[in-house]
Amino acid sequence: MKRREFLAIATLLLYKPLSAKTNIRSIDIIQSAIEHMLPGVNLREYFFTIPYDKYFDKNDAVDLDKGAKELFLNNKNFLLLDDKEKERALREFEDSENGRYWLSLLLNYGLEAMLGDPIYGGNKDKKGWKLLHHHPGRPRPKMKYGKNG
Amino acid sequence: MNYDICIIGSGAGAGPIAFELAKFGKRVVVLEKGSYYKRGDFSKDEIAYTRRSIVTPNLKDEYHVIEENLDGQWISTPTNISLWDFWNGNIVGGASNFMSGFFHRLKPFDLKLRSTFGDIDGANISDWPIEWEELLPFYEKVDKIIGVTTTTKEHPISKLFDKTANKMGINSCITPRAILSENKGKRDGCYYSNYCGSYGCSSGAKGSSREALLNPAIDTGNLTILPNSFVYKLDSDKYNIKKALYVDKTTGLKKEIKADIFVVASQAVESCRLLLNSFNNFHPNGLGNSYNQLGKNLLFSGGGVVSGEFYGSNDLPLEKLLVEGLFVNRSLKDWYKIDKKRKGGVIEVLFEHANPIRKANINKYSDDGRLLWGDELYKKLKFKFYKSKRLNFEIFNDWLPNDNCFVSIDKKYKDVYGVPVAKIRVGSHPQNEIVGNYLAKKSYNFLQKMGAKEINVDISPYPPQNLQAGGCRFGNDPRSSVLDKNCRSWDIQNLFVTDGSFMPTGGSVPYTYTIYANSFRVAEYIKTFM
Repeated sequence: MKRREFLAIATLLLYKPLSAKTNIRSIDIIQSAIEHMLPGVNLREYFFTIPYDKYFDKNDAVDLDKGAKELFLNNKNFLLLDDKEKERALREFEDSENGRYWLSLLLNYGLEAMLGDPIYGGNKDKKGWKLLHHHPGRPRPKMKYGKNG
Repeated sequence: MNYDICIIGSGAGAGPIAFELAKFGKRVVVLEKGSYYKRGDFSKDEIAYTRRSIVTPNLKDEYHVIEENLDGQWISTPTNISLWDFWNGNIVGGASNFMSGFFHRLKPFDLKLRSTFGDIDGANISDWPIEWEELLPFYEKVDKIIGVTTTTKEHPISKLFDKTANKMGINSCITPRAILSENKGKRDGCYYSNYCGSYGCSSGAKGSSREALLNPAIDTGNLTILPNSFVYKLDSDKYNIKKALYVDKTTGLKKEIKADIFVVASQAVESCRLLLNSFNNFHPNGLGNSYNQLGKNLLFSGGGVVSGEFYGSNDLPLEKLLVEGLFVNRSLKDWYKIDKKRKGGVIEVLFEHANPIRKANINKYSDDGRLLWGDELYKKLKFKFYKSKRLNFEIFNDWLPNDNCFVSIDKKYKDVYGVPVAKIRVGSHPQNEIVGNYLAKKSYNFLQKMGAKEINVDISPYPPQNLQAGGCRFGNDPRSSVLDKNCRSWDIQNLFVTDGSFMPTGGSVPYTYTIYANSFRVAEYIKTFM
């Protein structure tokens, strides 16, 4: 299988129902978690183009999916939890090695979505930059990934 | 077509040869494995330039194997598994596109380390075969042609730095930069974008090989640049290279180029790899390797970083501290030589890079190592982004050449083109860390006196992959060197190596300035018989 195809399949996992009994997908768990961790950041939108993104690390896509499944298995009603309960569930998840790795990876991409150039689909209206009084360097990109995107 | 001169690589070692020989009326071809980014193609896109591999190969396709000493054993790990990326700026102009441009000259005793400081156990220290005075006119040539300045605008913290140095009785040195403060030819002066190191320059102020040398060489009409051309073998007989064999990466087709003279300048590791992979019946161990010196005595740079946080004070109010884009342009050289027995190094002072994603990510932990998120994280980030600023003291000290730092080839590991990759053993001599720690202590004291808080020290035996030299050392004796004093192969008459590989010892400053100067020196020599 070509890398590009595998990448697409790995990332599409995020968008498939977690099991036959539910409509919930990994991306829903991811979005629910990141909303709690980085209020205002939308990974559902940021990850939308990633299945066809040759520069995105496919291993990360697999890990993001795995972690979301594990969190869901421990908390079947994760999407329904209130803030306090979510905090408890995520902190509990942080105590396991897998959980800590997943949360750290989620923050990594969450901060990227928050502070990267809006051309990549995150940082809507430069909200992330404004929040931190950050001034981007000029020139800003006219397209993704330099000239070979 | 038969070219007069074929250069493999287009960075700091390649540029001066292309520039000088094209101006001299010779037909020059440059084969660069990466793509061709011109000034207008660059932007300050953190995701593209620092978080994805857009100007370096994808590690799944092209990688290195790193040999590390773990509990007394040398363990090989491919970088497509470890993700420890050893590529640097594989585009036209090479890594010089992405440098910060700290241009310190070597000192005369840097070329005579052995006779000045004596031997060190476990290190293969050797004097250079040339005198410093032979290099000096070419440093001056770099100043003139590429442009080395001390006139870029300074950040208010530089005054505080000078004041502190003065109080401590230490010399504050202004750092020469390969950055234009004013327009020069087709290049515009610096516009202080706040994103310099790791980014391509959008005004042409940075003295990259592409802006300063290749562009004017193209204007002569004598230079052809072939991007996306990965040279995997040099085809030679007993005394001469006949052609360079390369893959055109855009089509996947194998091609070849003939020339009278071949210059290899692909950065130390890749130059060694190419010469080792070019073995044939006449040269069974690789080109220029009759005495098993090729790939040996690879150099990186010792040292690390000491950094401290500034919050704004009477000496430097917050609004001045937060001024963006201007340079610190200061260095400390009082401990370049520690005493009669020991060489020290340079401490280079600069603000932490502005990259916000990186900055947010390194601040996502609490003091006890928990992950931070929500209000707790936002509160910390706000403080780090607009209530404080981090100043780095980067330490450069000699990486001693030793038997456990070298490039070899292991046929087990091949890249996507089927070409064996470079295996790099990265053994660090204990002295590297001792000197690094000595300079770290000086940096720590200085930062403290400047009023810095939260001071971090990070000195390690790990090699910085962007500071490479050695592997093809030049010398007066073919039995202990790969190149003669003019950087010509002892074995192959029409082969020169002009990146940092020629250095028997590296000195304790970033390499680019010296690579440029030496390459101009070699160009002068090549002209004498063309």
